[in-house]
Amino acid sequence: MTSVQSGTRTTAAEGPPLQLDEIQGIVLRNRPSPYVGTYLLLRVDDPSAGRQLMGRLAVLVDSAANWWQPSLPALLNVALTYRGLEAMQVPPTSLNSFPEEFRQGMAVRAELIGDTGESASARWEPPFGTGEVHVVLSLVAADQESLAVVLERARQAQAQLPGLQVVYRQDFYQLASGRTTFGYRDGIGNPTIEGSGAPSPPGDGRALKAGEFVLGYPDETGNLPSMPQPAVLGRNGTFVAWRKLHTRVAAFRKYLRDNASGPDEESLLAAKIVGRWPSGAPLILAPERDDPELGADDQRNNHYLYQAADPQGLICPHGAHARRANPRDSEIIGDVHLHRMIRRGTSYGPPLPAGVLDDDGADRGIVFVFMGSHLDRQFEFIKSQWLNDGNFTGLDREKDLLVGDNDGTGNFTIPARPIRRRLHGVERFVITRGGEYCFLPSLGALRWLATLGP
Amino acid sequence: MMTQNGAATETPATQAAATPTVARQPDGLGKRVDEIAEITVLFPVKPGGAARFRQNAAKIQSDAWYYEKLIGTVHDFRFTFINNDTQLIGAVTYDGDFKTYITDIFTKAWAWFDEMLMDVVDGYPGASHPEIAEWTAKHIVEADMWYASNPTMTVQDTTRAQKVMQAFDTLLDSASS
Repeated sequence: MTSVQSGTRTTAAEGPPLQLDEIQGIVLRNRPSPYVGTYLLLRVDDPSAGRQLMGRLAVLVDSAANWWQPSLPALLNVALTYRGLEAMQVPPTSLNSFPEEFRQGMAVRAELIGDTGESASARWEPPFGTGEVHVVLSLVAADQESLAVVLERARQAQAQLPGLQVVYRQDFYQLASGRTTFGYRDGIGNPTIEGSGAPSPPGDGRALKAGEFVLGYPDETGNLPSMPQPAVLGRNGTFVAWRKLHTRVAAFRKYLRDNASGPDEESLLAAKIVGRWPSGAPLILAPERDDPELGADDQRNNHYLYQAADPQGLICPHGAHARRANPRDSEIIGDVHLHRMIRRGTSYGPPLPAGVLDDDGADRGIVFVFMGSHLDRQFEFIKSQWLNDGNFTGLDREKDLLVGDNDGTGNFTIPARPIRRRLHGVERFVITRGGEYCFLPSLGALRWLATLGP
Repeated sequence: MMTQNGAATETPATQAAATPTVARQPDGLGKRVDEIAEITVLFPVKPGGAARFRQNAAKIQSDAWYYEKLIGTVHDFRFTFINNDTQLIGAVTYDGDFKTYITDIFTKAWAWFDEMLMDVVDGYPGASHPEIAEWTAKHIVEADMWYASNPTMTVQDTTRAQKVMQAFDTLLDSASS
């Protein structure tokens, strides 16, 4: 179309370089692999104890600048819920400067993001959604020994601050297979961020503006995203959606078996559902069978597009989990660059042994962690439009088979010639056990929080 | 209801079972029925603004097809100058909630909105302005009556239905030839 006006947006601003020594390392850096770690969730009963904790953490939290030379044997990061900011008596003008969805919290937003039925917030494990989770500490190490050293220090620090209570603890570790409980390699395909200094293997396109993921920098709209005030509190911070997701591995395996005629068809069907093979090899580059060499090769395993290779979804269905979660160049409603997320997921619980089709009652799954500047435009949008609906890609109300809020009546469409295949009776394979929206402050904001108060 | 001569007449009440419910958008802006929503806005127009718009009208009209295809959630959209060109009324029928795609729309189609409204609407901050969604929301005048024929069909559903019908006709044609 030739009549369309060309030009540049007038407000596009060149951002300052990222202040890597102010940004918590976990925002811009991948975790170690293998990994072992724990989440400690705290309640702040005494505002001054909470502020003291912030002050101590400010010198212990590793920034993105020294992530590779950690000051402790384990990497430590900290995030705060809105209730946590209230509990530390952050001034009302600051509290009111946070976006509405963060102030409401994940439990209030549960229905919007598909936490209904078995995942409904009323059925979450306590203390999620009760307002008692104030501080989330993340500790991750390369081995149990290093983790134990840091945990002991954390215990001592907390013992000296009786105004803090540990209200929940979630251990996690990478399974020996290096895969999720569903059996798939995870964590491939995080966005490349301008100025992050992280290695950027060939991927799905250009680097994204830093402001999409770190507050205080221009974003993909050309503007500075609105930011909590004062600036020292907001700048270099970001938002987190923390979710404990139970995976119904046996039920998923049964569903595959019931819808396939043998092991080969089963694994192809699973790849159509996930968009990748267990090794991480993308279906687009390995249409017929797994290719472990490709899956392990970080220079190749994310280097592909959809529309050019497969506009009709004949190789990788439009409804496949990976294609929904990042449609890349697929023809969809809206602008893909406005809806990306940093994911820092970790596995918890024992693996279900291979071949087992009956549930053993064990709690296993993923602690899913989203990071980005916009809980609504990124996390909630991806959940509500891309994973729990199909309209964006011409699939009507069809949901993601693997992680969607299905209720036993869901469909899954697999384009094929001459006739597409459609699976029916899709149930919920991932159940939310709890979650919180958090703010992940900069190191400077931790220092600011420490100096608050009477 | 019975009329005086005893004949039954249909009233809205007796049709209620088949009537979709028109409600407020979940995020509070405009009306919503099933999958689709309306937004009506009323903007103040600068002196000479309407004339400026009309100078570009042919291009604005032609660009509509390009930009609305980029967006993919808009069923119909019109602008009309009223009250001796002192006000501009806009009416849109679109899919889903108000806020869901608002950033996408202004990010993808900013040039078109600026082409239509810059130097035309009084106070228009430009589609790239960080507060453009909030500015737009302030000018909403909700519809007092609104009817849509297929409220469960999104723009995407309609496009797909057309494709399916074409494919089905092709199949029938080849089967009967």
